[in-house]
Amino acid sequence: MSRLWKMAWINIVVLGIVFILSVLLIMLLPKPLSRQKLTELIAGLLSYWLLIILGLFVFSEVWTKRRHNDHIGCDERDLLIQVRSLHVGAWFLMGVFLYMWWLVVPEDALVKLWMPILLGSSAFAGTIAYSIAILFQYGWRGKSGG
Amino acid sequence: MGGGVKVADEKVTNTIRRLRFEKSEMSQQSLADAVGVTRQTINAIEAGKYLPSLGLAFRISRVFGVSVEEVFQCKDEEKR
Repeated sequence: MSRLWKMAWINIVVLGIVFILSVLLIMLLPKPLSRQKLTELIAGLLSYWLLIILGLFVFSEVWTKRRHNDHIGCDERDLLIQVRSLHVGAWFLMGVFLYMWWLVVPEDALVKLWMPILLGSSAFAGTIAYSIAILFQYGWRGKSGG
Repeated sequence: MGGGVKVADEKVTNTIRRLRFEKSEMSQQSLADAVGVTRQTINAIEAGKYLPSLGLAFRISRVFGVSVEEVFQCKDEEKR
């Protein structure tokens, strides 16, 4: 299996766990939560999401390009698949960012609170789309030379 | 002969699998190391799921000591 294919699964699993844990944390908090408090909590959580996503991309860059036992880790086909998938991810990132900006963020929104929410949610959607695009091109089980 | 990748109206097939076996049953990993790609890419090329760059096609043909045309064949899908 290609390292990029493995990295795509790692992205999906890690972000899936982070998403579930975040939802559980919000559900388990004592109620009722004011709208302001809830927004602050989500903004804080999504700031951590951004750090995790950044960490995943840094790890992916180092790990996929590294040689192991003199075998190459990433070649022209992997780069082609990565570039195509980055395009898909970038479109999703931009789409979710604009959707949130126009339809979700209130007019009196505080930049300090809503910017992490905007960036975190769009980066999350973009990374998931990027990872799914990789798996789609290699094949979900890596049967197409993944 | 392996599978083929369809490019426009033409289907590109290859004889890498046969050439590997003729060259002392060379493994996909050995060929991959010789041309500087991953084993998965050689597997995808053989299966006709990936069309290599011109540079890689030349490197593969040099490993077998044959011309590019002997490794990759292009067939018209329909008569024009």
